[in-house]
Amino acid sequence: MNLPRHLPATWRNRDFLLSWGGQALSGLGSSMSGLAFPLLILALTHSPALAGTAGMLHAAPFALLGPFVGALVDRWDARRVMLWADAGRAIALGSIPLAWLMGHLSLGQLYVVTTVEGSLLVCFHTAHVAALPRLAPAEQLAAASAQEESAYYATALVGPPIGGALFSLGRVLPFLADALSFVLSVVSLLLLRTDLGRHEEAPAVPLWADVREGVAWLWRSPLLRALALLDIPETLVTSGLGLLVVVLAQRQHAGPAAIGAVFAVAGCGGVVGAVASAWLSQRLCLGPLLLAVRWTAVLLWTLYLLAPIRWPWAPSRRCSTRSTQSRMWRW
Amino acid sequence: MLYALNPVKNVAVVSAAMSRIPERLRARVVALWDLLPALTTSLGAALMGLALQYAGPSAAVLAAAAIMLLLALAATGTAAIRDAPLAGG
Repeated sequence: MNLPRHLPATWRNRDFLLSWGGQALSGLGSSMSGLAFPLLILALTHSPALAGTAGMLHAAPFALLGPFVGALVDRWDARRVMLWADAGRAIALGSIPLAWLMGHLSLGQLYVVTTVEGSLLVCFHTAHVAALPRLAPAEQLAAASAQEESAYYATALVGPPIGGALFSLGRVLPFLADALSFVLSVVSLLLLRTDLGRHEEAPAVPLWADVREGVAWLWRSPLLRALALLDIPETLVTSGLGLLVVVLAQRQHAGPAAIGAVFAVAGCGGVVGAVASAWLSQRLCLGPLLLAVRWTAVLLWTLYLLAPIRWPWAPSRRCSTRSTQSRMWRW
Repeated sequence: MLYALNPVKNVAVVSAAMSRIPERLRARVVALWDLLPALTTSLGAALMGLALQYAGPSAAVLAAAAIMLLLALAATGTAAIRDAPLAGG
């Protein structure tokens, strides 16, 4: 594929573009169905607890299957893993509109679909990240990774509103759109020419030994071990950020639309950060860059202390907690 | 701005990790790396909820900022992070 030379290298890398495009489309579909799952369960059952259970079932495979999936993906061809995972996700999501048409859609099916989708997402994601250095050579790796982050934040920004609009047109339309996005991802994977297979014979050792070897390697790498260990408390803090923003905004009597606007601005911040990240990663040493990010985060967190002040010009109208809670799951 | 920092960190870390992890171990190390946030994400949201309800927003923010400060100090004091070379190299 002959593309203009002024384009960035990753935009002239045919196979990376195919993989990235397929992933962006399936990410867009997933962010649509991600909104539609709790909405549909609430419509069927009127139970927030049952809707929350679906979210837990979707997230659980990352913790339960992750290490074993990683060891298996190291033994298999990454492209095949991604192909089968997205084909499976297309079938799983497609079963929802089908059952709806036949009048047999049940909560049990939605739970099975979200569990299957979450499990196959672990397979796809692990194979996709592991295959990235094969698709993008070392000099393109930072730009490729930044492009993937940009797509993630952009789809997280536009997907839910589109999913909500589709849901209002027909309750199963977001699932149909998501199933189609996985079909397109499968097509993009079929068009890849890069060999993503394993070049050496997989050793005949138990899977658990492979997992242990991965843990041992991570532990022996001083940089990656330190980064992984610091990630644990950091995730504990940052995963509560969305809830904190909602509570602080409510204390200032912000309405649902204002809170939505805050998150939209935050999403735009993510896209801007992703666009800037490749430039920064290619020009700055990792150490100073990570330290700058950490100290900036400390400063920004401290600035939240100013937020609980009740501004004199804030309107006194109380906003609905129910509509704001529906936004929380996204962040 | 906090949301803008996430991708900057992610891209730097992914580029650094991918150029260091041997190819035959890549998927399992990636999966192990993803395991830790998967375990702590739901716990973090629950802890923030409890802190907001029982201690109030100011105390919750103060605690979060204190943890982030300790992490920044720990990162600054860790030679492997402080002296890490170019992310992609």
